[in-house]
Amino acid sequence: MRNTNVQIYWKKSAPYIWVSPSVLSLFLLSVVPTLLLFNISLTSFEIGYPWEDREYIGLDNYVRLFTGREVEFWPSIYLSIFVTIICVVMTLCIGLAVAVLFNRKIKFKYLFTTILILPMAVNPAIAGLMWKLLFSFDFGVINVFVEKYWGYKIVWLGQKYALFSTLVVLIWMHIPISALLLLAGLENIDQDTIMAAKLDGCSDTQAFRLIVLPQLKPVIISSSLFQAILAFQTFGPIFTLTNGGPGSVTTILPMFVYKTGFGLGMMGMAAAGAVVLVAITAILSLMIMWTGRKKA
Amino acid sequence: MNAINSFRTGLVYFLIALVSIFSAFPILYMAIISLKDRVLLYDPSIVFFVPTLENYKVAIYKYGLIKYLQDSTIISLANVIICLLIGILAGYALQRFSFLHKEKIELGIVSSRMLPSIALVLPFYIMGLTLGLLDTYSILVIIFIVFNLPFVVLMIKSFFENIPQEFEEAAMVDGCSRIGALIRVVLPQMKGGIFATGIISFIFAWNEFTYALFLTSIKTKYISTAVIFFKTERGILWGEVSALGVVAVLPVLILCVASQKYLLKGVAR
Repeated sequence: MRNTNVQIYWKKSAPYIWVSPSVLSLFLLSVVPTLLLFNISLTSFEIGYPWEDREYIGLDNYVRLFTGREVEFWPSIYLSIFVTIICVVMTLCIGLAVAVLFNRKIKFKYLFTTILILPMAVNPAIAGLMWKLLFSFDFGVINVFVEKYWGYKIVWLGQKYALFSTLVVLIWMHIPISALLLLAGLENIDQDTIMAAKLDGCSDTQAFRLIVLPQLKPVIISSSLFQAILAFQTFGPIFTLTNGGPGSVTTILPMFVYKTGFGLGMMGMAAAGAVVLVAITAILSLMIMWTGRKKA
Repeated sequence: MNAINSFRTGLVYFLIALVSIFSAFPILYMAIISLKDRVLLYDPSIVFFVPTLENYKVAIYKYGLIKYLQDSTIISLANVIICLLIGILAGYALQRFSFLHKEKIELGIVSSRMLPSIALVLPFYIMGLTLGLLDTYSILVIIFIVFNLPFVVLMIKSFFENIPQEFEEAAMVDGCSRIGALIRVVLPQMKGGIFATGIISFIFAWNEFTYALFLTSIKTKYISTAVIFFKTERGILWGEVSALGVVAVLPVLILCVASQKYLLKGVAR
């Protein structure tokens, strides 16, 4: 009798033993650092000083951030929101167009799909550098064309166009993800319904608007939110392309965290900014899970 | 009608070609620049030239490219192996067993992938500092778990969905333990999936930039951070940077093409 009790107990705890290595390691690598991050944000810790010498200053860092005494903070939040909206809208529009384009029988489909997903595989930091080379004022290939047709060169990474150039790079990097997700969504739509609608006199555009788009809605929402998280967290490509500059023209929130923490060494302040970043990411992630649950 | 149809087909291929050029051109251009001689480098209008491997030689001998490749490979591989080992266990349990708080555990695993690296790098820096782990292989191997393990768990879980439970039940009736059944009967059937998961998480690790940039410097050299050290007082050494970029991107592109089928699944997570 005792034996079966032990067996039942063992059976009940077995699943937890199987998941425990993953749960434990992720707890140590995500929950603990997040708590530590919050802890740092309550201190005036600076790089170069011993961690033991930190001083707790309460919510001072947050007060300084939100009252605008850190002049770059609010602009970086606004810029992040702007960049995120543009990236989400553009990747959705172009991604949808590409998905529709690829959702048919085409020759060499495998080859073209491979080319399509290339930007996704490129190291983000190197992607930034690649585009820096293309955008270069003196010997960038883009300016060669611009000069040929308009007769003058453009300072792509200067005050006026740096943000535009950054957006081009981010959109280039993130289109494949949207395109692939939306393509998968399109392939899941029942072709018979569309055929039936067309037999009943529906035009192509009507069929797309009335049948395809509503069915694609869950994919559109989840891929847009995913894109929003990606855009909001962008660091590598901006670091190598513009380094947040010139001035702070392309300093989005992650760049603000980097500049404050590792550039100026003010880890406490940077941590406060990072907590804001984590909070925004958490909200976006919750929205993804919420829409995912509603779909199921 | 025929004319309209062939016009439409032509338009489709024209647009596909346009998309392909937009996707591939920056990568191709970097490859071209890496083969150009320094004298020709600053004139982009030169399309035909005699290719030279000079930039690659400089990257290898002067900037220690081999060390970068070696360190990055070791770190990425070690990380992928750890993630696969513990990820298979978790993925199996989440698919096959039903237990209390299962959904919450799965949600917790998935959501740790969403954390922004630029935020986590601050506490990791402090942790590395106090534990004396900065600038070592181990710190990157361990930290990369935070984004690769959730991915591995989800992928593996979805592969188990396609394998009927009867397989390991039969093996267990024949006297195998559950773990024995898993290793001897189930895992061999999903070799392909495990391999693809490994490749994609290797790509994720190989392309990681933020953690590598701030947590390593002299003793541990990570390939994605190499590119920023070519900023000199004479500006960026584009030839060498391009050579290095090509070397960093090429293995990933090959792996990516090889596992293209599975990439879609990976992205959809």
